[in-house]
Amino acid sequence: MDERIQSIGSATWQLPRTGPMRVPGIVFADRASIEGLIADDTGDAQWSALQQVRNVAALPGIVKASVALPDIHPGYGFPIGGVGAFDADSGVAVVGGVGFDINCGVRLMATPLTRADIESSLDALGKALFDRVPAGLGAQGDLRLTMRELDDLLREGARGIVARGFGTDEDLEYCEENGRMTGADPEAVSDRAKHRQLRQVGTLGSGNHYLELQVVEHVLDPAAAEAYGLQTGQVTIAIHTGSRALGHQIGQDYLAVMSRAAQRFGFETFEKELACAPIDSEEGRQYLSAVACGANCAFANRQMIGHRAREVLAAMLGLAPSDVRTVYDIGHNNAKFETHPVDGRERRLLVHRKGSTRAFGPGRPESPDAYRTVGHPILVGGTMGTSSYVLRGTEEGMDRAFGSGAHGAGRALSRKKAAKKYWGETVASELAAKGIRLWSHSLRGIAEEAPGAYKDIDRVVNAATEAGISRPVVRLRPIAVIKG
Amino acid sequence: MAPIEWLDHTADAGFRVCGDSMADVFEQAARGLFSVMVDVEHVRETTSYRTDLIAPSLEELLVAWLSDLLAQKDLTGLVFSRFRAAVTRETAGASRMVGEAWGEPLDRRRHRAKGEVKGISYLGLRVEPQGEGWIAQVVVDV
Repeated sequence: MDERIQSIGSATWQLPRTGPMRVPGIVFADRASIEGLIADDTGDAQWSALQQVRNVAALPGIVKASVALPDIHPGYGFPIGGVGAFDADSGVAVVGGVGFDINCGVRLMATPLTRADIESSLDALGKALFDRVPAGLGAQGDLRLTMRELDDLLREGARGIVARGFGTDEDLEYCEENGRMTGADPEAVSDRAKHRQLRQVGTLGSGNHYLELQVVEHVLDPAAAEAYGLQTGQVTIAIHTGSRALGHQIGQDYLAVMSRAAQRFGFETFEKELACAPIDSEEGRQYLSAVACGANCAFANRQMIGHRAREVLAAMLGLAPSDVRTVYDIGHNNAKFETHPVDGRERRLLVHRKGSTRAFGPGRPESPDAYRTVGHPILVGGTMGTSSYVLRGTEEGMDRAFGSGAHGAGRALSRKKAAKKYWGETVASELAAKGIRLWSHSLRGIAEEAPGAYKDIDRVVNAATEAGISRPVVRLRPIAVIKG
Repeated sequence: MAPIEWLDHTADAGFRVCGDSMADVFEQAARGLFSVMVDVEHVRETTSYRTDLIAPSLEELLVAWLSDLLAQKDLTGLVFSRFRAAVTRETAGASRMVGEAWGEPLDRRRHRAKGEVKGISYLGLRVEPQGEGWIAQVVVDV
């Protein structure tokens, strides 16, 4: 094994402190993944996820370790699957630690149906969802807001959508942060960001975003599955989307602001995307206020889409809204203040998770009451042809990864390579042969998102399990996929 | 017009363009951006958008130009296929450009819509002279 990386436990590797690194890097991954990462470790942060882990480790105020989860792959600045926790007093807020799609995440909803209940209506159901949920380039939502109403939504998050009659208070109970980040100040968000968002509330987007009907294929942890209300054969709805144009513009605006701030504060960031400012600075505070707005926009967006899905199930199958229960809603691009033990004492940290989810184990008060003994669900999205998982957090994960978990399979092929290797129609017919119906606005998008373009999600979940940072609860299989 | 060279970035979409002048690569990069979202060959020139931007560096000016055009897609519903840029160096190292883009409202079917671009990243960002001409490299988040 390469001397730049050391095995320090099962599926756990350390990048020792070298050069400007203030803390070591810790990577949770299986041996094959690590060997691939080392082969790409040329020192060029554009292509090397390990170099990105090292660069994050060199940022001011980082504590304990720069962490990477088993779905690690190169991002921009931070690796995708990266976690960086910074002291709330002496650390920095980092734009690349959140990215452009602020609080992109997954909502999982459980129905009382089995596959047999919907087999005969699956085509019509999928088509109705495709027609009802705006998706793809240029799609517009049907919720029309004034700028003032949008400001309210940025403060209120999913609660603002529920207040309009689209959902229930119970939905909010089962959202991370109860669907509303505090500290959101719409004044920190540009008018351009707001204007771009006015027609995009309740839209799915494109790329790897999706709405899926899934079936619980296997229960792997009966006690936790029971707590989450999931059982074998049950039909679920998964929604993967984020903060849409508002979040994208916030990311773009603050990339410039924080880049200038980093220069002003004399920070050496090694990679322009790691533009940052002290948490306790004007720029840092403004950025985090804007991030909270972006996060609330994402919560609101998933709430709206979840409601639309309920409407379709009501119209097609006669289900009452209360029959379709929110299991959990959790983001995987965010920066949040949390308390974690560091060197034997509790410290308030700003935890950035870029392509990784919060994964709090048993006992943490942030989890809904019903989940507190097992920890909240971690939602790991698969590809449109393979499984997704619900995991739960562990004490080891709290201790070694700031309570963080993997968020997906992680790409193996670039979009360019995937589009060259796969053909949209062929992918769709291969999925159909596996019993998976697909609706999409873009054949090119289907090719880029072909299951073969991603790593094996089972390996990601196994590595997280071997490392002890999370445990699998249920495995879900898609049966109908809506893409942008 | 030199072809757009697509990069193999795992998570995102990246491209490299070259041209005879700095203005050429600003124009080509804009074409690269819209090529990620639509087949630009099918976008007609029925309307135009004009912008005037200043940034502290050439790289930031390129990001400002591309992100401005990207925002127009949501603000006006337009997609663009032809671009003109005039770039000048200002005092204190800043750069300025007056840019114009021609296009039409997005027609998802006729333009063969691909997917959205979320943002213009600073990752591997380059605008620099090379040989007799210029090159620019951009990675966008999709």
